[in-house]
Amino acid sequence: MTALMTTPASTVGAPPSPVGRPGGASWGRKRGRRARGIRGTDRPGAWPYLLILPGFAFYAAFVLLPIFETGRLSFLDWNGLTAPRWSGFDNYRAALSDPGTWRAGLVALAFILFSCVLPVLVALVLAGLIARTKIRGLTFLRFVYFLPYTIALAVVAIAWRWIYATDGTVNLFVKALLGADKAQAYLGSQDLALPALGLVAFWVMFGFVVVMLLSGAQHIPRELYDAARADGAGPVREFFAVTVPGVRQELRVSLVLTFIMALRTFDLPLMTTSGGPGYATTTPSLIMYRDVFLNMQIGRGATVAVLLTVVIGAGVIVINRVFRSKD
Amino acid sequence: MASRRENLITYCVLYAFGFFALMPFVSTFLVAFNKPTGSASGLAIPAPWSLGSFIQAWTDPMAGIGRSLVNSMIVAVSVVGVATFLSILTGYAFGTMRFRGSKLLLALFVLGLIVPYEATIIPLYYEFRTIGLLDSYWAMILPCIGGSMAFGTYWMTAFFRSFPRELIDSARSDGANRWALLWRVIVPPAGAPIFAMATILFIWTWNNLLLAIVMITDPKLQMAPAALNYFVGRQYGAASYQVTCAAALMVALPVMAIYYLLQRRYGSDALAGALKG
Repeated sequence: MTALMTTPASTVGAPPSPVGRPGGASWGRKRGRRARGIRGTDRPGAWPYLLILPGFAFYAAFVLLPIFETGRLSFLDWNGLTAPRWSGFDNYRAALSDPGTWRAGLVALAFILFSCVLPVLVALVLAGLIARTKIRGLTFLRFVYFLPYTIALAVVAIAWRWIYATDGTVNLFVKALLGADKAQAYLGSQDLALPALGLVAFWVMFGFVVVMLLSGAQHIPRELYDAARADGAGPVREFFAVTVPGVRQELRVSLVLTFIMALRTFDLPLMTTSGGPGYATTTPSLIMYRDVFLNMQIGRGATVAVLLTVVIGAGVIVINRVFRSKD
Repeated sequence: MASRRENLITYCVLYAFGFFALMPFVSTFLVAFNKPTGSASGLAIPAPWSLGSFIQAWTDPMAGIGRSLVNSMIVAVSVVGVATFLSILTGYAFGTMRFRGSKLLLALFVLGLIVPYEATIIPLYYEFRTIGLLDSYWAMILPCIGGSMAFGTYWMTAFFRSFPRELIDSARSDGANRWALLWRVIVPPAGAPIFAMATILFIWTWNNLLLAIVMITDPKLQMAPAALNYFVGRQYGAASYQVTCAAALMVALPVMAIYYLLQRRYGSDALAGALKG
């Protein structure tokens, strides 16, 4: 949480405005010693609370309270119809001893690789390439890179099902290069379905990270690159000495955001493989959805949601620790 | 500057990834312009070009793509309108005023950026069932506004904090009250970040599939991404892949148009800045 806050919060510590407190006379109440310490601010009284209230009401009613409610549900044995029964940690014991949970954990791990780690690595290289030279058509490239992220995953799923279909685009190349007998239905294959979906996840995320990293890379002074070159640094050393340190903040935020999105993967398997074949592409979110809305085991589903939240929170903390320790 | 050979490699890599990003759109586009009957293959150019698949997708009475687009538009516009207005208010408070509890309150809002949406959907479903609002626009609009407040507050706060203090102080000394100050002094120069935020919120609302399939079961009220489910389910049966692709393009088009407009108007950095916060 503090993670995401550091970027804008840094502006809070801006030096106090030299401007005094104009119009102070009419605000006699605020002329106390404390008020003077607050750089030129007159006391807002009830204003901030009134301004926040409507937004907070929506947020509390539809985000905060449901989160706590999910926590409570995870301790219940409830089918959604009859009266719920308090079951303590039974749901947690059941979820953690169910091999399906761990299988979904492994799938989630694969998605961390495909929609967090790989996109960030590739985007770093692309942003590095873009930062060191003047690229023609950069606006167009950025638009194109980012496009996959803006599209509904339901649409993405349809586009890629076609690409992976037996007479689709991938098989067109496979047939031409490896022979007609090598064509197959990738999403129907026990071994290939997960990597195939992983490629889609990578496709969705990499441009998103490129655009984020570029917004940091454009603040790297070009002289740094010139200086690195004057020191005889090759493209690789230049990359690690100039580009990577220059986009550290953006790198951290990209990792946090893609990590969260990777663990939440839901639409993509739902609309392409329904989690199959078997359980090859079943993610934690899919398990939660099935538990609650198909199997009517609301407590179990809520438990999965809680576990997922805890894992995401822990991961975000770790990412931020790693970056902070390098400060 | 880099050598010629390095430049060549750079361009090859960058445009190769550009091709990779575009290719699925191109293939979907090409398939959709095939005749709705018969089969299409790979990246082949449609022969002849035909709008038949679009017409069939649009007129299929069971799918209701047109109606679902209207539904999605109603929901997205309401959510973006209300959430943008409320985020300007919360951002104004957090970004320009000092008050007791501000740190804790802001931290509560930012928590919503990290907590997965999945953690809220179960109680939301049962609460809306209890008050009888399942299968209504409200079941989409209210939770989406709530969910948008985390990002909106975070983003507007970050922006308003960087607003020059002197301008606020001098407007105050001219006797402007805080409400007038917000709308006459602070908001007008913030057009770009506000529009960027609105675009992000629109994309998130429009693309929200999980909430749409949980809250809405009445086909008349179906959201656009959920309506695609119908085609996906049928595609190995009566409906052809061409029709599915045509439907997908129709669902994608509004978001692509809005993203294109934002890019035209403010450059692609506007979105990146918004996401980075």
